[in-house]
Amino acid sequence: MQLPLKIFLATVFLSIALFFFVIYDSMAGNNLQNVPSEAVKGKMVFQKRACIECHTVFGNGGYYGGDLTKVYEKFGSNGLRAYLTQPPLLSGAKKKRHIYLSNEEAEEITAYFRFLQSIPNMDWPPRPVYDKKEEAGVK
Amino acid sequence: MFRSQHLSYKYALFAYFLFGLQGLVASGGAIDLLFPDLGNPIPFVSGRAFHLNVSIYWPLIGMIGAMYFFFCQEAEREFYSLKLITINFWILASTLGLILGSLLLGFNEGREYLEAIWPLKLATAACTILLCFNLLTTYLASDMPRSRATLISMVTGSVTLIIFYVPNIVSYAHPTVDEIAKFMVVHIWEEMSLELIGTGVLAALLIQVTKVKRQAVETAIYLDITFAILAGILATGHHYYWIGVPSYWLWIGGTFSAMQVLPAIVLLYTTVKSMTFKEIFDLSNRDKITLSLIGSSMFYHIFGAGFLGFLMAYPPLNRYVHGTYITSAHSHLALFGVFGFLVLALCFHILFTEIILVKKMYRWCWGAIISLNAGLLTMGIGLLIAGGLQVYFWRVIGLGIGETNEFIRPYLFIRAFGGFLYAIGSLTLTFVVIKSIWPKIQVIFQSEGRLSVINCDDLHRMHRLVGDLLQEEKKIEPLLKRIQVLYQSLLFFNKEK
Repeated sequence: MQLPLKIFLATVFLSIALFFFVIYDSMAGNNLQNVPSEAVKGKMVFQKRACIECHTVFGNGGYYGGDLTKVYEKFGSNGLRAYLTQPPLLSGAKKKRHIYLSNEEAEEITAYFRFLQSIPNMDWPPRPVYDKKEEAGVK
Repeated sequence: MFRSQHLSYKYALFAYFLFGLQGLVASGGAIDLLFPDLGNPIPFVSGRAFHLNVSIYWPLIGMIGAMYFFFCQEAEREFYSLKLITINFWILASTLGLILGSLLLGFNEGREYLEAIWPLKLATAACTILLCFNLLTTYLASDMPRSRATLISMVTGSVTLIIFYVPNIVSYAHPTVDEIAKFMVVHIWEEMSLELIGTGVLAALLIQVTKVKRQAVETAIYLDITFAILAGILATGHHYYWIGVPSYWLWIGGTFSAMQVLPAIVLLYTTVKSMTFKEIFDLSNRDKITLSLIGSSMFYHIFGAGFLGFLMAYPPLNRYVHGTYITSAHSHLALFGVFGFLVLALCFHILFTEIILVKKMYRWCWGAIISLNAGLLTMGIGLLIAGGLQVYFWRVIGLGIGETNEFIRPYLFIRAFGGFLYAIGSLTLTFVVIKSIWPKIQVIFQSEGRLSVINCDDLHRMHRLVGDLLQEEKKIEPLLKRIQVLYQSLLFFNKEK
């Protein structure tokens, strides 16, 4: 076997092995918390309604509706439930409203957002730069 | 000309059809975002899922076709199973048909890029397994050196398609695990597996078109694919920064992403080195179109994927630009810019191997290429500005979504205009291809059929030789000999059919 081929094959095996090992390490132990059953149901609602086409979670998804990773912190249970069960008009629309969810679905998806917020993701999305400055000034 | 190559035509044709469809549907989506009350016949959610899925499947189908075409040429033998090439096509085409149909009907698993329901993902995995089986058995039966770089890169690329797709057939309860798995397709497929396959196929094409010596490019191909593996797999880390995994991913992602520009540079260097300007002028019209599509792909490889990706993957910067239209600009430039153009080039070359494209159609092809590039660049610029404003409004001064959407609206108009230009280009090119292929369409889909026209490469060479003959009387004798040889090959070619 020629040297370039040997080097190539060694790179293939090492890279794949290292990649899966690091993934294993990221998920092993207490690195990932258990997902509460209500949040699992909420995730199913989130997937069934294909929310990801307009919204992002962890910054991945559609860029028009904004990120939902920390949306629970911003609106709380009541705010989210009200928004989803009595959906407002979409931005720029005069007729088209945000998708409607039943009370039960809204509860479940709120539980999912509560869980999402608790995932330690190095505090992404970042707080606005000017918010931070104002906060520091108040302190 | 191998039988396997004839069987790969339908892949290339189907890829062109999907590419035309893609421009149309995506433009509809861009307009729907701007005018939500317009009453688009396809709901935005279904349309976007359709757009994302086609964007993965059409380059994949085209690339698989290109592999069937070039792999047998490089292995210098027919594929192990010819029937499997056709079976693989029909499974893949019907799977994609069902995926697109089910998405339009609202069956959506709710994971971006992986919206198809699980049985259809299983069918996709089965298609990649069939492909690998045929490639591996042919590779093992080939008399060519085992270390031939083009064969190695295509085989490795195809095997990794399976490895990284399988974890995505199901979805997971934990959103972090979902994201970890998702980027094995969204990132690794595009930036590693298809990169390996693309490099192998491209090298085979360059060896054929520019007549560069195999030994001269062999080391460069190995260098390229080794970098692609090394950087491609672990650079997936740049998608993992903020999904809830330990912080060491910032280092892994940042370091390996910085290396991702290397394979692009090696590939560009090899391509440029393998030809001279004089050779480019001497090429047939068909090869000029192919090379200009490859040139477009290289441009976006260096700038759209390479440098923009390099900047965006730097963690302190990524923290602010992630999750905005800047990512969308990058994915358009990297996915269509790099792989779209490459697959268009390969499929164009494949389809017009035996079928002659009428001369006046070339003008339309040039127009389409200019329109595609102008459209893609306009889209990219519109999205970059819109994304830059999102960063400023969301992450610097802290405005809400509604207000930000109003401010970025003009730039989404620019994006939609770019999309319109792109759609004109894609529809024109698809129209030219399908119109030219149409008279032979039945033969292309027949397993036993043969196209009854001469090989375009030979015809072009004959043209040039006769031209040379008229100009240079001194060299008349050797030229006559070459013509004689070529005539024999042309006659043999026709008789065979």
